Amino acid sequence: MIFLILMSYGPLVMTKRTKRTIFFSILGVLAIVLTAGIYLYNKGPVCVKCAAGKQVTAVILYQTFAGDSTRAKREYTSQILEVSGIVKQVSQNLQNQAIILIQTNEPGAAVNCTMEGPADKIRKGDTVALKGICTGMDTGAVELGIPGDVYLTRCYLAK
Amino acid sequence: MPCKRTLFSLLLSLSFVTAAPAQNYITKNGTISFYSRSTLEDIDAVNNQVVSVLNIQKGDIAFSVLVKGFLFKKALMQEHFNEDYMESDKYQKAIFKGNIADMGKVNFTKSGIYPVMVSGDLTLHGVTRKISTGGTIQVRDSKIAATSEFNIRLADYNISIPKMVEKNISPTIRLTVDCMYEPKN
Repeated sequence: MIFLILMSYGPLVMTKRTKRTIFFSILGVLAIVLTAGIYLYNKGPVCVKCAAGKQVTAVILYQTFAGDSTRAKREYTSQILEVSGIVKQVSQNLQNQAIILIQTNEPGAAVNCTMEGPADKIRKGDTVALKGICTGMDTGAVELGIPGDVYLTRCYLAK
Repeated sequence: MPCKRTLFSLLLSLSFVTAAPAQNYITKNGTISFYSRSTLEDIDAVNNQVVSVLNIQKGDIAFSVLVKGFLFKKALMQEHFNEDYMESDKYQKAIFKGNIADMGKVNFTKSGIYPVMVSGDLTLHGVTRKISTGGTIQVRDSKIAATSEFNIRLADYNISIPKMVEKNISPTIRLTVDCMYEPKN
């Protein structure tokens, strides 16, 4: 590009210094582009712990998914949410991550939170606010009368 | 006296009802992970939000997983996986519905690891295909665990890899399923 601009001015006699400046400018731009590319390629997942979450209660979140899934997907899916409510159950998955179920108004259904942060202080019956990424709502097992949960992943205790 | 006998029979039948093992076992936090090994790089992701139901009498087994729940080590990989390959806004779930043919080999009253064969329909990226694979059922106390590993070809599910990155992604992906069930009463 720089070369073309220079050429448009007609034949130029470039000094050795000018040539060196152009060479190092191009090298510098390439280095910046390459560094940015490598950074973006290797960039880790979003920091849920440091991000601000959209506040919503577990009851409202569940009701929205159950009643208007299109709106729920638009407003909540893939977003970092801060979901508040009463802890229904605390357990562990096969990776030894804590699973916190937050109560909803639907019997047997919960906001199902897989913890990335510590959860050793969370007990059944506690009122909590958990921050995590909403991945959506599963349908559960309808034939067995088991309602689906709304899922949050990579969760941290916010309050 | 007849009254006592009736009461005894009633209590006896009730005890049988309560002692009968559950037929359906469920988990809402099972694990599915996948692994792609290629010349340029290895890619793996895990989803710990698998819903699965196992009927130990009929051998019916079903899995359902939200595609957006797969977590990658790199943000860009996760973005490409959801937007370009799996189109997770359009095809939100991956579903398997099948049957364990040799469920009779599993003794649910005795702890142990039992090899089984599973076959059924796997729906991924809007495409349903029959698959058949081996797995194990592990019985431990009142809990049941199921594991399986199998390969799928991305082309079978209309998942196309652009030429530019075809050396980064294997055309065959290794899937591992790991679920710990609890009785559904």
